[in-house]
Amino acid sequence: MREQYDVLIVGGGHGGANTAVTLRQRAVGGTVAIIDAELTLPYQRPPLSKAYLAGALGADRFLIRPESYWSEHEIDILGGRRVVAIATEDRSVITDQGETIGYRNLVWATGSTPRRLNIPGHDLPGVHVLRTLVDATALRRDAESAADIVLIGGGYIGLETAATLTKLGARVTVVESLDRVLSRVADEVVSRFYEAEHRAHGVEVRLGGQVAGFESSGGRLSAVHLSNGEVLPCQVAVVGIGGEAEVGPLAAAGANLECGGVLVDARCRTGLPDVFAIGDCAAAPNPYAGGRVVRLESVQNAVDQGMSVARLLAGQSDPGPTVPYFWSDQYDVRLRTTGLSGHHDATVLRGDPHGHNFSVISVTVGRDVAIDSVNAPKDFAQGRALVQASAYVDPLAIADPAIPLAELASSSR
Amino acid sequence: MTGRTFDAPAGAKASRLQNRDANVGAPSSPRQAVVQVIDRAGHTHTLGFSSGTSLMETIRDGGIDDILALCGGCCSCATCHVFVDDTWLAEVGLASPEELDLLETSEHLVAGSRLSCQIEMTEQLSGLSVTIAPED
Repeated sequence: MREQYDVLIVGGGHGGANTAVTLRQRAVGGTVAIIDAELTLPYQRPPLSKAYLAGALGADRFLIRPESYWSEHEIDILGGRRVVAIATEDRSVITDQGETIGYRNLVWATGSTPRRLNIPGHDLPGVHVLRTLVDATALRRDAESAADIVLIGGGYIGLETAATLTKLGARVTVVESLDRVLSRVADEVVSRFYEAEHRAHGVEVRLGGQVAGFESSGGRLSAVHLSNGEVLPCQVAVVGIGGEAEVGPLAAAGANLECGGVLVDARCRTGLPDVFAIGDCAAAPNPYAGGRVVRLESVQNAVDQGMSVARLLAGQSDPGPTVPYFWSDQYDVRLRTTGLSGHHDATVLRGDPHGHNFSVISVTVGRDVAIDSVNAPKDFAQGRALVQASAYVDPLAIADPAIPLAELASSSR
Repeated sequence: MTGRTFDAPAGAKASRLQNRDANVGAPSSPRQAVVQVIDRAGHTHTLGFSSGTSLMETIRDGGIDDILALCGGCCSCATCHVFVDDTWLAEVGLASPEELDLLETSEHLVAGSRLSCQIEMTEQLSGLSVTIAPED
C-alpha cells in the first residue's frame, strides 16, 4: 500500500473495478488502488443469485478480470478494509484499520448494504441476505439441507433466488408486503406474469404479507411469523428487501444527499473537490428520466458511470449516458429492460404473456421511454433505439408484434 | 510498482484465492487447447482454453481487454461480439435466434458474427481463429 494514490477507488464492485480498468485502457498512468471491504478480487454479482447459488458456476469463473490482471496493470487491491472517514482538506481517507491513505482523486463506489428487518430474530442462524460472495456461499450451504425456504421480498433478488432454490428442490415461499411482486421496478403486466410463473413452478407467493418475527428452535431459525398470525415453518429465510447506499462518510464530509445517494453532476462529480461517486451511491440527472435526478441500482449504470469518470480523469470527452438497461433470469424466462419507466403515463402491451414472449412499452406524452421485454430479445435490441431517440410512437403500431420496432424507430424522426 | 497487489490488513484471514474455493463447474480437462484471437489493434493472441468455458471467458481471462461483456455472458448485452473465421463457421455453428436478435443491432454484423459468450469451447475448436468486432 502507498501513502497516496493518484486515483483511489473505494469499492471493488462493477463500478469501482471498471473505473480502474478503463483508466488503464485509456493509458492513464499514475498510481491506482481499489479499497474493498471484501477479501476477494473484484467479481460480478449477478451470478450470486443464479448460477453460483445453484452450484453450476465456480467463483473463479466470474471474476471481473483474472487474478494476474491487477498486478500486471499496477492496480493495488486493498482488501478487507472500509473507509470510515474522508478528510477532504487533507485529501485523504481513514480506514477501519486505522490507516490514512491520501488521494488526488477519490472515486466512491461502495455500492449498497442489504436492508435488514429490524425485528426479533433477524440475526438468527438461517436468516440470510444476499449481496456478496460470502453471503451466497453461506446461503448455498444452509439451503442444501433446507426443506422449506422463505424469501422475504418479491424484488429481483428475491425472485431470482426463489427460482434457483426451487430448482434445487426446496419448497419456497415468497412473502411480498405489497400487492404485487416487482412493484418498484416493473409494470403490473410483468409483475403478474412473474407471479404466475413462480406459482407454476411450485413457489407459494404471499402478497400483502408482513413479516412480524422469526421463531427459533435449538438456536436456529425454525419459522417466519406473519403479522396476520400465520406461521411459515422454514429452516432458511432470505431477506431481499433492497439495499441502502453506503454513503455515510461522504455525507459526513459534507456531500449533498438525494434519493438515498450522493448528488452528482452528469460526470459524477460530487460537490467535494476531486471526489466522485458512481453506481448505487450516485444520484445523477439522467436524460432517460426526463432530466430528473435518479439513483440507479444496476450493473450497467455502475459500469458506465465508472467508465465516464475514468474518461474524465483521462482528459477525454464523454459520449453521455447510454440507454439504461437491466436483465433478470428466472427459470427459462429472460427479462431484458431498457430505458427508465416510473415517469410514464401509459403502457402498451406487445405480444401475449401467456405465450411467454411479450414486451411492455412505457410511454410518456406519446414518446417511448422504456421497454420490459420477456423472452423478446428483438424488442429489447430494437427498442433501445426507440428509447434512445425518445421516439414518438403510435400505440397501435407498437402493440402489433408483427411490426418490428426497428421500422418504427427509422420513421420516428 | 512496489509491494503486493493484494494487500489485506494484518490479522485478517485474507486469501486472494478465497473466491476460488468453490470449484464447482471448473474445467476438468487438463489438456491445453488453443484459440487465436485478433484484438482491435490487429494483434494476434494465442490463448489456451479449457473445455466447458465460453470463448468470452477465454478472451477475458487471456488478458485481452477489448470486450466489455457487461452482462457477464447471459446473452443480454451484445458487447462481446466477434467475427468467426470463415473456415471455422461450420464447426462453431450459427447464432441462435435470440443471439441473432441482439447481433442485428450491431453496425458491424457479418456472416461470421457471434456473441463470444454463447460459444462453448470444446476440444474440437482447438485452432479456432476469431477477430474481435469493432466497438458499436
